[in-house]
Amino acid sequence: MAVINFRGNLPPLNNTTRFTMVAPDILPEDGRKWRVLWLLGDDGRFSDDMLRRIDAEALSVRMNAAIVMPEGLHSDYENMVRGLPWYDYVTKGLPEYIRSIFPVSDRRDDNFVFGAGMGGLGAFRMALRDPQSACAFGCCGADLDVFSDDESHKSPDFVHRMQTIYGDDFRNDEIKRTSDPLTMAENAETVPAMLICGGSAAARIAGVLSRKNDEVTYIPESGQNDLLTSLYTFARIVDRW
Amino acid sequence: MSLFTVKFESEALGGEGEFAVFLPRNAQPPYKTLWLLHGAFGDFSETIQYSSVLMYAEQRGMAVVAPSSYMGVYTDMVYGENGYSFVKEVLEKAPKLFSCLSTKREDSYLMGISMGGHGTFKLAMEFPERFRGACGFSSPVDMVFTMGLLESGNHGGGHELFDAFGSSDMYRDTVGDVIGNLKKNLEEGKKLPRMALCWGDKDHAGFEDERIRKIFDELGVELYSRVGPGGHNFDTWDPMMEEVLDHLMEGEDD
Repeated sequence: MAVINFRGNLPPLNNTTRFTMVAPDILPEDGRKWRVLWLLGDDGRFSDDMLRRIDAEALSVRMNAAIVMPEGLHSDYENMVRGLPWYDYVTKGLPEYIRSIFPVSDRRDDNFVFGAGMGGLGAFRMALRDPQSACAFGCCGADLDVFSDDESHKSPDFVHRMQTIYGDDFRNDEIKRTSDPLTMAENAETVPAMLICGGSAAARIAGVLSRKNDEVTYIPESGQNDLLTSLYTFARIVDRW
Repeated sequence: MSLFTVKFESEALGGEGEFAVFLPRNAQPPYKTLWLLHGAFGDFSETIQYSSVLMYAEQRGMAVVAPSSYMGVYTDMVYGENGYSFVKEVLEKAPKLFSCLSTKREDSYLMGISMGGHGTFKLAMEFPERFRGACGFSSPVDMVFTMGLLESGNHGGGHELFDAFGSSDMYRDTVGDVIGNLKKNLEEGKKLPRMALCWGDKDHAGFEDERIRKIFDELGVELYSRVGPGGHNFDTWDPMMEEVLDHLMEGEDD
């Protein structure tokens, strides 16, 4: 097992960034390349944050997969209106670079995406925007009600953050169509296998998605060990691939 | 040089922050310290990779402390990160963690590359008592002026500068108004660091630095400046680093 810390300037960010990678020691004997879990971290965390929060090496062994942990700063993993193109980075630039350096498979059935917190929002959107990029997607602890105008989404800091990512008029219909989880779920034509762990918003959205694909699993959040519970449930789900 | 990469919970960033400390192997603590600020869109490793600054520092018995400032614009961005507050946080935190770093004025120097030079002169004007020397290479020292160029369509920078600084009017009379704060320091009779500014003869930012040299001349403030052959790159800057460091460090503190 190897833990690799990368620091460099990758397209399309064109800005120095980091990723941490847990890599198996050996290649599969059948000549195939590594399966890979793309594990998206939380708001404002460095790439090795997930390394500390979970036993990533044990998870790598359990899933028989390499784990790639990029960072997304405060971006929601979106192409920011005022910032960098993080969505294009995690869905295109990073996978292309990784596959040019390491023996990582580009087969859909060998790729899995999971995110925690802000990373969960990124994983959720990847699932519905680019369902062909991986065979299963998981999100835990994401704010899936992020475009709500209820009291918990009205603070000046929150509004400023949203304007930085999505633009000044961040609650308009076009942005909701492309980025609001509930709207995306309602409009989705292709729904991949998904695991969603969260509260009432997550339950509502999982309900919408499960009517389109019975491979959508919902886990109510308990407030205790939700991340590890979700990850190992996710690992059981991907066992069939 | 010995390398330490430090990650910590930054109040300024509201998340994790990072800086690197390079300690000389040929000197004894407390170490003279060079605070090294990278250019836009880089991080602490940029100047280390593309120049010989670590070798120059070690030859002079200096430690180097290099923060990674998100997007490298050295301001608390209108839309974005609190990049300037973060660098000030590192200025406080590094000597607390590394007690071998001297914080005496006579041992403290700033160096900034390109946009890092803006951060350098900004810190030098806010804390003139803290640093003996400050130098920039091809730097937009006066971002109020640079934002004016951008607003009039005479600058190649992108929207990220508006996201960071807002506008020339918004940045004027703030802690980032280097020329304004230089004048205030002069009025208040504050002791200024030795300062230096170098650029290339084919540098797109050269005319901005030439303007800074004239302003310093008019104000009667000494500014060591050199124009080397080349453009806005490390090939131009690296050959001038040693003479600039020697100028800032020579003799006793002014």
